[in-house]
Amino acid sequence: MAFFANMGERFSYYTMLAIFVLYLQARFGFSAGEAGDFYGGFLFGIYFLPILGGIIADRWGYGRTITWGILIAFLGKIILTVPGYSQGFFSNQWELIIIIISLIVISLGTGLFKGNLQALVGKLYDAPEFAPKRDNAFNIFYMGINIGAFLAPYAATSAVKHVLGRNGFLYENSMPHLANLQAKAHPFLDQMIGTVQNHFNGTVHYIDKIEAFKSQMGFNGTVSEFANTYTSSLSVGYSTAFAIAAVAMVVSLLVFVGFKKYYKHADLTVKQAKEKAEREGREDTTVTMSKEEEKKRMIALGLVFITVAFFWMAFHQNGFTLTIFARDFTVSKVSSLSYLFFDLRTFIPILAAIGGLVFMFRKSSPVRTKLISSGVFIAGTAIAYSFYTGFDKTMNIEPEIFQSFNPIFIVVLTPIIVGFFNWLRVRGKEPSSPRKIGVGMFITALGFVVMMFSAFHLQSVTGLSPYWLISTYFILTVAELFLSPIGISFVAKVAPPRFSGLAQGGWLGATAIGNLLAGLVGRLWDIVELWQFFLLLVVLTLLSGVFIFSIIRILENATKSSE
Amino acid sequence: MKNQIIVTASFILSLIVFSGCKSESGPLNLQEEVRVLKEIEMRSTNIENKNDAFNVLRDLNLNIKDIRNKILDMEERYREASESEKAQIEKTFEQANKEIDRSLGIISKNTEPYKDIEEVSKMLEKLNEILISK
Repeated sequence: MAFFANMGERFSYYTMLAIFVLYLQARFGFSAGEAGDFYGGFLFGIYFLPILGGIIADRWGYGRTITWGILIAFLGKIILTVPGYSQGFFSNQWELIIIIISLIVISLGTGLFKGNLQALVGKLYDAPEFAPKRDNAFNIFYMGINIGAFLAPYAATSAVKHVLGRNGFLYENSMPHLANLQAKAHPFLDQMIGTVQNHFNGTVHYIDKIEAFKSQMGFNGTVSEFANTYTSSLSVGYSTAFAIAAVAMVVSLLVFVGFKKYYKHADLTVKQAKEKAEREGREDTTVTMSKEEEKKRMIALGLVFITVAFFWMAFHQNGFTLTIFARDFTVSKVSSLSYLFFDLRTFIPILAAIGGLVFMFRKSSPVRTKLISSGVFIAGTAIAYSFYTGFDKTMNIEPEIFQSFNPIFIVVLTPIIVGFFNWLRVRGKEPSSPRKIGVGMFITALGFVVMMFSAFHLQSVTGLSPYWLISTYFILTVAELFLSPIGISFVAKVAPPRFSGLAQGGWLGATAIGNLLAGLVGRLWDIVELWQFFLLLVVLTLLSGVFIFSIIRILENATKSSE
Repeated sequence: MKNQIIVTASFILSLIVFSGCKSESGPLNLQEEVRVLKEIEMRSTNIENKNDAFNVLRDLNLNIKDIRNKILDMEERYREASESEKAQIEKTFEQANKEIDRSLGIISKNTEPYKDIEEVSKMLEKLNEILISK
């Protein structure tokens, strides 16, 4: 239930996020910086408001708060569709006010939902017989987030393409920016284009570029008319994607409310549990803690939050400096064989085929499973091969595509890592949650060591192989799986029962601070040498890992006393 | 342990606070960008192989991107400026444009022999669109 409710909400959230900046630029002509400010503020709200949501849920009840969170976020996404669909009914200023209101409403809704669902999942594993499975449960829960996040950009882009296609247009993501350039006079930029044109043949003017798109799409009218019609149509496309995001919230709500019976027993605050026990005339089994014990645990959590902020600082370089690295220093053309990993139509069937192969040769697989697995293997290989034959000898890759490796790796690696921890547990060697977090920090450092070597290698080649970045994404994903779901599980274990929601909110608050730090560190990108930049990330994450191990006894004691 | 928390938390907080204190508007001229361009121009006089040509053009692309961003900021200011301010901004731009023109001429000449090499031509393709890209 929690897996699907979370997947629906995350799908909705990332569908909206995938196009949000583009929407602001298309609709309001924002520069990248202005749109980035909106985006940054919104993200901070999304990750910081769960603290408030946690405080509310700890008093009011988790299920109730989560339900209201979904409803409020749904309302926010509906409000977000208004400017695009109303097409000029509101003035530009009012449209912007509507957008701001919608973002506040969505942040509030997500604040009520996100951390508290984690708290509720944690409570499902409070019983001693289930407690050992809590880490694995959160690993699987985490996979739900990433399946939602992985599918979202495709849903958003498909919605936009569909609406544009109905108006006879093709999707061209540079058009809003070009239309914005065309909408205002640019005396200096025009001159500078001329200056560059004088020395480098083929330098393009934005009007020429729009003209080319206009001809390509068979539009009859002026460049200005084309730019206006295209951006209006694009806005409707974006609003349709926001509407899909809202529908996904409804699905999430239906799952959460419809399957209430599976979590009802755990959906109790300390006070509610006490009242229920009194009503039923039985002894209250909720763990009560002394103020001193609560304080000790909150300090342990605080220490983990501080360290984890550094993980997110390093990890969230993926959407920032690592994407710039992909754009500026990685080859933009790959062989058709390498391109198999860059096209979902081939990559997913290949992964399915590998999965099929594993189950085919596993000794413990029953005959039926082996037969199905062979079918999956043959189908996966055939599908991948059929698309592969249509590839050119070399294929272009976009820098943004590297970001999709993280959710794919999450989905693929989660069962492997869960299996690995199970294997260790059976042998009595499973590390404690804080140790997993510490190891996760070291693995993160390793990911940036690879980047450091790639920076050295760059000094002797003209463009880097994409496998440098893919390897880094792979290592960072392993680190994430050691750290993020395990961290949420640790919070669920250690949080004093009356602060479960607040503690999960604190975890997300640490993510918010990590995001801020990611931006701060990212500013060094243009100032220091590439290898120095990655070395800084290696050092910071190593220090964080060392810090975790330096306080491991405190953290393990906090975990033990909760088991 | 409390001290450790206080020190680390203060460090993070100060990073956040100081980041908010940075000046939002740098000097509105192209001096720094022109200085970097002149350095690239100097390097272009010592190009010995395709790697050198590639590196020069890669850095030129980054520099032209900075120039584009600064120009867009200048135009933003220009639109709201008084007549006298407008004249000043125009003058600043004209001066910078002359120097940029001269440097680009030299860089273009020095990279010309390598323009048909795949990696170099890719950098030139990027350069062609960098002023109008996002």
